[in-house]
Amino acid sequence: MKKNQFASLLTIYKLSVELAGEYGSGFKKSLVYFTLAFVAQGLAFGMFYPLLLAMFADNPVISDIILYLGLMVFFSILSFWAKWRGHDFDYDGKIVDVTHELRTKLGTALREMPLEKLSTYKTGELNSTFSSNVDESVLHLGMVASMFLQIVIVPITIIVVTFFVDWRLALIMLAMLPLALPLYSWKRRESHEDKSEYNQANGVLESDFVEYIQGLPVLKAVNKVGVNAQKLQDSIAYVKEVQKQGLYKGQVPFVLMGVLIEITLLAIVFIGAFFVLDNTLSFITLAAAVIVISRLAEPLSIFLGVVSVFDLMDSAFKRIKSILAIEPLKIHKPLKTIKTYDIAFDNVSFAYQNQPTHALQNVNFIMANKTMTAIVGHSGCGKTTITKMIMRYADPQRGSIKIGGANIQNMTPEDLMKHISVVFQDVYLFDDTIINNIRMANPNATDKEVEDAANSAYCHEFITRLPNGYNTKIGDIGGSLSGGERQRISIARAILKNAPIVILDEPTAALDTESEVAVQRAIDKLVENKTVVVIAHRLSTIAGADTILVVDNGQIVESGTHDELVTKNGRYYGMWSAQQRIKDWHIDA
Amino acid sequence: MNTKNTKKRGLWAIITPVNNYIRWAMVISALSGILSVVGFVLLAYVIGLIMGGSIHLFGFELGFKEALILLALITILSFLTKFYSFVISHLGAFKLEQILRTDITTHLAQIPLGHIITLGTGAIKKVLLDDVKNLHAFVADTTPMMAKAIVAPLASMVALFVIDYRLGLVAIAILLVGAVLMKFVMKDSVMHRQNYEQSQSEINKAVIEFVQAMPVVRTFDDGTTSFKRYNDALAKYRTNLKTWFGSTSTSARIAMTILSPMPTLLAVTITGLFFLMNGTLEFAPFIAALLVSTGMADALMPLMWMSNFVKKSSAAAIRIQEIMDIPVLHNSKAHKKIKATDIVFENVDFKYNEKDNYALKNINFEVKANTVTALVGPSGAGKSTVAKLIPRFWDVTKGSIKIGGVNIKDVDSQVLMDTVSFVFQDTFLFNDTLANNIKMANPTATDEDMIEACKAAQIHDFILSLPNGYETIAGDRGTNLSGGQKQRITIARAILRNAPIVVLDEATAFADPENEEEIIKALANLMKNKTVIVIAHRLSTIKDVDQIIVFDQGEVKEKGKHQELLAIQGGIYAKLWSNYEKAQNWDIHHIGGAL
Repeated sequence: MKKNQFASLLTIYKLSVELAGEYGSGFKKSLVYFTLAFVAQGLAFGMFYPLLLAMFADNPVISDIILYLGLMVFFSILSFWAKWRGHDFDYDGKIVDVTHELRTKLGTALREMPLEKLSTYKTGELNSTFSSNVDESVLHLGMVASMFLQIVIVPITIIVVTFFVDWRLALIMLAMLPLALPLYSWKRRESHEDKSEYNQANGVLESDFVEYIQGLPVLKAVNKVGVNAQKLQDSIAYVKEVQKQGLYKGQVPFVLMGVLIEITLLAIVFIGAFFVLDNTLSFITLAAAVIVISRLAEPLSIFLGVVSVFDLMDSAFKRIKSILAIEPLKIHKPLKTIKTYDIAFDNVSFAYQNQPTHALQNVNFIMANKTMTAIVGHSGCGKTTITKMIMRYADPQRGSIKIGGANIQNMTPEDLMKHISVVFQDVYLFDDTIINNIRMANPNATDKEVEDAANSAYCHEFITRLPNGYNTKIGDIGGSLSGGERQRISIARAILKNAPIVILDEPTAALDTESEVAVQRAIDKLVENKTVVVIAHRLSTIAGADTILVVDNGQIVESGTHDELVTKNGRYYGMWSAQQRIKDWHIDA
Repeated sequence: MNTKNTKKRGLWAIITPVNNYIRWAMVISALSGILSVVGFVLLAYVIGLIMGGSIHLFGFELGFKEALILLALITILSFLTKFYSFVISHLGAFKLEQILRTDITTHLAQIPLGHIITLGTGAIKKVLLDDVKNLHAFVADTTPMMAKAIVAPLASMVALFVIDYRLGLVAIAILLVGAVLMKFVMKDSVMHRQNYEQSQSEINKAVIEFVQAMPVVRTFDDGTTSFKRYNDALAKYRTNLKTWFGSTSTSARIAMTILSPMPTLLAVTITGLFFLMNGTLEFAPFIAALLVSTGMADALMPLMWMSNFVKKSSAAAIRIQEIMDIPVLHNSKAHKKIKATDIVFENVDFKYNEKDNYALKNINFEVKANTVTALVGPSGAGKSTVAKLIPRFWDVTKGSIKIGGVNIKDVDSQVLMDTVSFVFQDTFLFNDTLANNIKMANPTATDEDMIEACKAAQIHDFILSLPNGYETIAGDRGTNLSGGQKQRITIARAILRNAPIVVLDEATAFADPENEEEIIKALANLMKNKTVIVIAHRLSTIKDVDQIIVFDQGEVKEKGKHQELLAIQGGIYAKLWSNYEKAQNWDIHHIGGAL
């Protein structure tokens, strides 16, 4: 345990310096100042030895007393000054630069990482890494470094000084004080936070809570609520029991640490008494030792706090590093450019990371320039995967994807995405003006061009009716825009971008009837003269497509026009007829 | 300053159920603090006794040996008091956790169900788990530490005065100087703190936006535009933070210096030296003074850390109290029974909160028993709100809802739940067997009844196809069921419950495209011979119902049968219908292709 702790301390030091980047030398300098500060503090305390001896000498020599008092004051002032300088790194703002650098690097990493990797992170996780991890762990680096050095250097200095005064006393201190470390490890072992039983009980409680909350209507109906919710009450009681179990044993090491100084003092006085009676030690020196040791209570109480912060810092640093270490997708040479807009999948097979089965198997098709291709099939069959692959979400394990004959792996992400517009079911709008939200698609567009795009997307009207028209901030009205209105703004973006390839992923699925018509008209405008890929569930909306690809289990099982597929009497026909039947359904009176 | 008091009241109020534990823990902890101080003082005298002599304590004469034994006893007692104070506080904390969690979950069952929806499962779960745990930490660790942190310094001050009042005065003088300096140095601290927190929340917003938008934004471009926004926010933050650091740099560092024990120690040493020199102070008292004089100064830092923790715990306490403050569904204790199933809305007005606008105004309609009524209207018109008022997800603000002539407020909640079943889009399965999940709706049902219900819900065959059939465990930790399968199981539950009134959101039928046909058949079975209220989206499905009520902006605008409504010139229903037909007939107009 001891070894592990020191090893991780070294790692944290290294990580801190690494994360400090170009400011690393400034950080090291502050550490030097802190070290100086705490050595000086230890020496100031150490002055009690000669000072008390001089004060209580049989014939006190004033000049000696003044000398030692003066030295004590000098070392104290030195300590304050060095600590002050040590915090320069913080207060001169260098640490702010460090966090700024770090966040910039993290931002770049996020932009460049393969989309597949990006999707494995939950936004909550990323938020906490970018915000609180950087703040809590890096911003307070100076404070934590100072506290850590205090707990280590002051005791060591004191023990060294005592060594020169009376080596036996020093040995007693050396024997007792470091006991803090094994006591700490003992405490960790007993601490239920680390115990799997507690974590398990808590995990069960968590899901029981969710069950209770979500199932409340059902539970209310049968009165299995509150104290009658037996299962829940049992989980709550169980967590209490598990915590009670470790209580007595767990408190012992913690409290022992709290009385460690008192015990050390007792030991020193007891053993020291023998030496005094033996005339090998002056009781004055013993008194001075007692005073000096009592000063160690302060660093000891900080110890616990610092170690837990170290744990936090350790995991925070690791998370930050792991994000920075992610490699973007490789761009193969020679660089190619897109000249025409047909999309070709050549024997593509793809499995998501950590998934045993392939999401796509031997997918082959060509979407000709300026045609509309619809992809249909049951959910989970691979339709969205195909569209993701076009955007180079990840590289397929086998096969290639080419646009206009150029392999998408041979172009920069900017170049690729320049040619593609996507309209999803959910729309993300920035907390900015509407005009800026639309202009994102083409930062060089003029106001007129933005308005034209909005017009084509049938949203110009409702935008002008808003309090500030195009300059209305989304944050101020975000909630009151309907799904259809948001979708039309998203389509306006796509129209403004005017990319030759358009991918539509069930864009009207989440809309109410009123919005649907408007959005449909907007989509019609968007797809004029483009190569279009549509994923739609309602087959009637894509019956006019140039090609329909029917996907099942990652493979293309049927393809052709609507009429061709219907006559085949296969998968497509089954889906089509089911939908026709549903169309006719109505509730009988 | 007033707000500080109210907050504290909240935190201390919420832990009253375990006040006994807390009081004992604090008393014993305070005792341990006093014992430490006594121990230090005794220690100083013990050293003096090594050379011989004795001290008089409470009529006893103690030599070195006796004093040392007393010291050992005090140390052991110190250990025991610390130990037990923490054990007691922890026991209290565990009990408090249980009490709070039981109370909150009981209360959740008594408030209108609508609040649960608006609060959200995530937020409620967080309160039950994290906020309660936070209070646990407060009671278990902070309360005994607080007691010690307040009593120990006071005890050392008292001890110092007893030892030599002059040194006591010196120590206090240093503290006063320190306090004055602190006040001067920290005079702008509140404003600075607010600036800092403001910057913090701004940067957090920028980060959240950047991170959340990333998957979407990468499809527009490679993220250049949003990256620029992010960078701009970062630059602004950097400037703000540097300013903040710069302005608080001197005061913060001075504060750290003042709060250290060194100045007190030096002052007492130098003053003690004078008194020693002129013979008015002896060895043992001087050592004792040096040991206890920094008691006050030593306590300051821990107290500051603690106040931070208290703030966090207060916030947790407030969140818990906010939930407990939600008024329960008022039950009139009339315990009336429902005999008929016609539903009448009489002059109903409704708003979610005092300060909001009315979501529903002047709602009047009647649903005859065993008929089907559809609620239609543009989104946000109020139709689902109306539907949710029937099972009392919320109470009406004005007016009344009567079933069979009985006001639903006069009916016990269980009776109401027995009469009205609802099928909305959120499906929920318990972590239990499918059989239990379904039978839960009707504890008196037999297995045959359950199977009948499942057949009607078009889910029976699917369940039999599972390896454990009806004994398969569902829920989060159970088998992975698709949305449509879960939907049909909840429909089976509703069928088994056989409540005479069914409130249904038609969107459930179309939530899972895979299973539309089966779900539709299941719903058709559910609705046989019941009084049905259906929130309709696809107008073709409700062409033939007994009554269509058209909502717009929270009011009833049109009522009647399909044909009647279509005949209204410029009517809302007519317009909805025509839009609907257009939408249904759409297929993407694609110009310029192989066609």
